[in-house]
Amino acid sequence: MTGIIIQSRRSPIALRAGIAPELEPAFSSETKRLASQVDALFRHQRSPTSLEQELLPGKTISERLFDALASAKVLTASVAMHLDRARRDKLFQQLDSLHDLAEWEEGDEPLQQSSFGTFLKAMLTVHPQRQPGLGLSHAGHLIGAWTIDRDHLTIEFLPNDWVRWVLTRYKDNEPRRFAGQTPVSELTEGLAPHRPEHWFSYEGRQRQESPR
Amino acid sequence: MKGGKGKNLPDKDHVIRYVPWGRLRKDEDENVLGFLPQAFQLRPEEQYLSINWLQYYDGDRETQIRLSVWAMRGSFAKPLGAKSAFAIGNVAEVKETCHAFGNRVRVVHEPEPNNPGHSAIRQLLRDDLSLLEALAADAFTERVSNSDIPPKPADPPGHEI
Amino acid sequence: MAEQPYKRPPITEAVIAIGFGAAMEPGDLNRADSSFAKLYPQHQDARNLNLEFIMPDRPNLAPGTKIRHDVPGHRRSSDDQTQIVIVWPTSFVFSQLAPYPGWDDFFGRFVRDWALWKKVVGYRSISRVGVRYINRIDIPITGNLTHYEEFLNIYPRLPEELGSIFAYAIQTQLPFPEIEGRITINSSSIPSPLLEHASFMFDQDLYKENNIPQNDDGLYNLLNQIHVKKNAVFEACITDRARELFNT
Repeated sequence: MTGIIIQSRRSPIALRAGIAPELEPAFSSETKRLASQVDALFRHQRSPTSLEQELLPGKTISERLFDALASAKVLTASVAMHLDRARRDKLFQQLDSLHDLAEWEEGDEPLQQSSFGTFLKAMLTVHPQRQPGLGLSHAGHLIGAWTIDRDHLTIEFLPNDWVRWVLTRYKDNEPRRFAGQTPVSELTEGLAPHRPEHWFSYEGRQRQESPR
Repeated sequence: MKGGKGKNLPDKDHVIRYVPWGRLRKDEDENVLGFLPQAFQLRPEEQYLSINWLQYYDGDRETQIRLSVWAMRGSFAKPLGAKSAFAIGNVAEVKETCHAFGNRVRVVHEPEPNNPGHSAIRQLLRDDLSLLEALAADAFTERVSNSDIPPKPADPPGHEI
Repeated sequence: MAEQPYKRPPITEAVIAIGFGAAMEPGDLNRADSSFAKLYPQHQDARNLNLEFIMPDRPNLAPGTKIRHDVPGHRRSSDDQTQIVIVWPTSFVFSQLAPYPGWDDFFGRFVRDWALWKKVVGYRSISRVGVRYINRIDIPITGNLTHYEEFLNIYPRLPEELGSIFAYAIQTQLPFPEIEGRITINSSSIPSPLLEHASFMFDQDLYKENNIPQNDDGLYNLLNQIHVKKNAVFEACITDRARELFNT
């Protein structure tokens, strides 16, 4: 049995015919033709409806918001088989709301695809019972917020599969704050000492709400 | 004139900051609960956190808030979103919160031609998420919805010269 | 076999593409696009751009460019971006992203949209009928190696002494004699959108480019034949372990 070696966080191996540009003059036209045919095989793999947004400088903010939303929804579709339909619909409502032109802050960046990809990875790994409230940083990074009274957990989903988070828990009426910045693959491990089920589960919320 | 460019705001006074919808803390049903830490994050090109000085205006608190919001609305290029809000905090609390993170800030009056109450929090650390969370949770403790402040009445006819 | 045998089918996209012998006039293209506006309210202009770089015969001269073709089209989608229609001068592309609703729903939508298309554009000679299903099989990682052979029956065969691999991609073209067509299968390892998973793409493109039925009944029969074959090929290329994944 052969098997495939799991890649680490480093970028996955890109499959190409592999003629480096500086070496091209050394190869015969037949070899270059074969390499070009091999590369064409990989280009064929793109779906006929895949979105490739034109990065035109003249795009209006309305067009940029549309593009960002469309791309996020297409990206969600790629993992839709792992998502509950109701959750997906709620997520889309929240994203639509964040990209409402009437509420848009001038100078902000729409949702960055790379940040949204990090968010999806995190949510599909952590599987929180409670969905986060969503926000958007001025750089276009998605923010997930869980709140139980004064206790807060805030996670900013950065590009390239990184997250940074901060949490506040009140004890004896005094805040305790903890923060971290890790690869998304280490998010669960990073939050574990702080009992994230306090925010992620409905039991945690009920415990907070029940009278003492 | 009250204050003056570069003058420190009195510790007992309050400041107010505009927070767009995207940086309000919400639950999964979009009920607003407060402010995200990123509401107090400096943009890369910013040297200070922009705020307004509530007590620049005389009158009761409601009047000060209303006049401050009108001035801030006038200073933005486009109308502010109906779902946005304003965060209000005490100057001393803001300074103490930052100081607890080893960050000595100055809260100074920096009037602008169309916004005379404009002020600034200077020397704020960039990107310290714990500090920003503390500002959101402990320093800016009051929230006013943009939709709760009525539009500024138009100037009466004949006012313009 | 049940119409939708899996709780979580691994289909990421299903496409029906109808190609025409002659290009449409821009006016007809725009009318066709407008006719879909109510069904697919989200619109984007689409462009199929092909550039040629002309290398100079001397190294100190700048290369030139030539536009080989710049073809405008229209892309329309549902609000959630899962139902898509793209109209080009020489083709009508109809697509469904995940979650896949099953062939009955997918084909039913196609029949509806095809009728609308024909009502607006009229008869156009069909030169190609293609159906493409792109699947992504996400395998939970349990160790350093993922033995794709336990989940897939299509993969590269290598000598044991070469050991394990980082990645692979294969393309196979097969005859589809039942319809005098062809099947192109692409299968490869791909970066996974999930943590702690290894992902593999299985992409089938089934098409016919000659003696295309020109009436609706013939076209629908052909598409149903293609669908049956697609299922058979897919089932032949996966193992029971993969089937278990699609039902958890």
